[in-house]
Amino acid sequence: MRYPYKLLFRSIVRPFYRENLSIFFFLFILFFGIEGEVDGAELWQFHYSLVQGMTRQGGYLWVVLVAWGWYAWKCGRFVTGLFRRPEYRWIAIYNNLGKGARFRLLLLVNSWLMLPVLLYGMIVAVIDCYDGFIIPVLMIWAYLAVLVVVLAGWQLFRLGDLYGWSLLRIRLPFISYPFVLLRQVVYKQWALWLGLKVFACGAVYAIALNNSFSDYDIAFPFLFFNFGILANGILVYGLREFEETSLSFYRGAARPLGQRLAEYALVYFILLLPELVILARLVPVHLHAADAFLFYCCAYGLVLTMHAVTFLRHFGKKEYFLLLVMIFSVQYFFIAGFGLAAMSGCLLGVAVISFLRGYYGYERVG
Amino acid sequence: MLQLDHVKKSFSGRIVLKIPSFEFRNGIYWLKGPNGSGKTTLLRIVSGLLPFEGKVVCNDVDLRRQPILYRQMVSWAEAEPLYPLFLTGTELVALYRSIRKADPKDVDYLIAAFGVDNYIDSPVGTWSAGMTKKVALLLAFIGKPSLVVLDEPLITLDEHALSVVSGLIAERCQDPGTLFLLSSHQDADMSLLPAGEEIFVQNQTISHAISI
Repeated sequence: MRYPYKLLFRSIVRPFYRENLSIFFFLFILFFGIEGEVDGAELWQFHYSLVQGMTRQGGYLWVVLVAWGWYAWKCGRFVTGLFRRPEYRWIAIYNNLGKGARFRLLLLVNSWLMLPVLLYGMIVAVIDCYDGFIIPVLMIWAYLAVLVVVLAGWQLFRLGDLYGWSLLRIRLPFISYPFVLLRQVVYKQWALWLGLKVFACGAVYAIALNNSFSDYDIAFPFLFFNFGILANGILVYGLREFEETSLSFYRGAARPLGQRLAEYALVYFILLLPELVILARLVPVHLHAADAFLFYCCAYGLVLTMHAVTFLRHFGKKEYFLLLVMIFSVQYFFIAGFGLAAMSGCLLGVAVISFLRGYYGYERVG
Repeated sequence: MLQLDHVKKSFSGRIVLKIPSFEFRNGIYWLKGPNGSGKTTLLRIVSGLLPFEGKVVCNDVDLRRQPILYRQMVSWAEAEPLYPLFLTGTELVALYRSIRKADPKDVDYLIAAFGVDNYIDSPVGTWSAGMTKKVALLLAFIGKPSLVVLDEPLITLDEHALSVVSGLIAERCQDPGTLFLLSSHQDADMSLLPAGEEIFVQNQTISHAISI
């Protein structure tokens, strides 16, 4: 068993930590590298109070558990992603081992991947046991054990079904281009999409809730809402990359430009539905109907613009995100000078013109 | 008939193709040339996939002026096709059929001819390179395109698929309004394939060769 384990360790665990080294370093500095005092407390006392807050306050504990679950999910995605890579095809040889042996190997691998969380779980256990809070410790460790076991089980399934996609298959009675794009979001970008929705919807909802008939302000909610929409640029960029690599044939299809634009418009309308629902929920007390409408038009126009400009020329990732920052700056001055209605119209206009001018002239470089 | 007039293509300032004028009559043409000579670039241009300078006209339809009408006449299969891994072959076929408004019976015939019916319902992610290539060629034959552009149609194909492609090309060429543009950078076993004219792509331009 030693050699199969060593190989898995070198080909899964090491690449994982190498790839995420900068994030772990940042987190380590954030949590443990701060010298001196934090809010008047020593480092040990800081963690002591952090753990106390975690296990004594239900809401805080839930947030931590969700974060750990998210980390586990990222680990799982990393491993199954490796399984699909051509240079990892050799890993199919592990299917010659018995299920129990494979599962034990994957348990070990996942324990290594989950090590940062497990170590922090140990700190929590020491502090809570010292304080006599045994039940929360048992709950936390049961949760961590479930995460590791589920990860190993999931990878065991994927290892035996290396080229299969039997889970999460969506079968529609018809096929159309917008639904191919939406399915890509469902399969590959759903976590990103969900995060963006939680941020944009959560921010606008939480801030606009302070509005009332007598005390009304739209500048602050819009600022955060717009920032959340702008972050959709990551999703847009991912979708365009997907189009260029896997759907390039569609450019040669006999489809009028207007229809192509309508297809993209439908995709982004569906992707922005949560924002539409949240804005509608805030009407009429926390947001006036006209303002909610303008918020949505701005969001829709902005997303379409972020998509359409990618046809003007090929942007590298950094260039594209720099462009988004520029769009954000222009928006800021535009709103100050002309207001939301003008900006919505302008964004929609820019989106349509950029798309119509750029679509057939676009080519990917590099 | 396909006409190229002052077609020029550059990548990052480097001229890859500069064709003053060229005319492809209907029939079969094999584009030959070493790697990087511009075969695929030319095929992508006439398929409406790459922007270019100049004029490309197929059966009096200008690619720039009537992009939709032009694309209705053209079908294209890549050398190394890539499709979304989660789509099944059936879904890809349905998408192409809806775009090209093809007869379902003809599509069923193609599926049977290529022998892909045993895996067409599975996702692309489960296929080998050869299986994907077969489906890409099948998709190129859907409908009744006047211009069929196949980039390296012979690579990764087994003998059965090769004979199917060869048979389909011969069958479609019986229609005098059909033009095949095929590329190859190696000498294939031409005895299996219908006769055609060789075109050399070199020194940034194209030139006629001999009938084979």
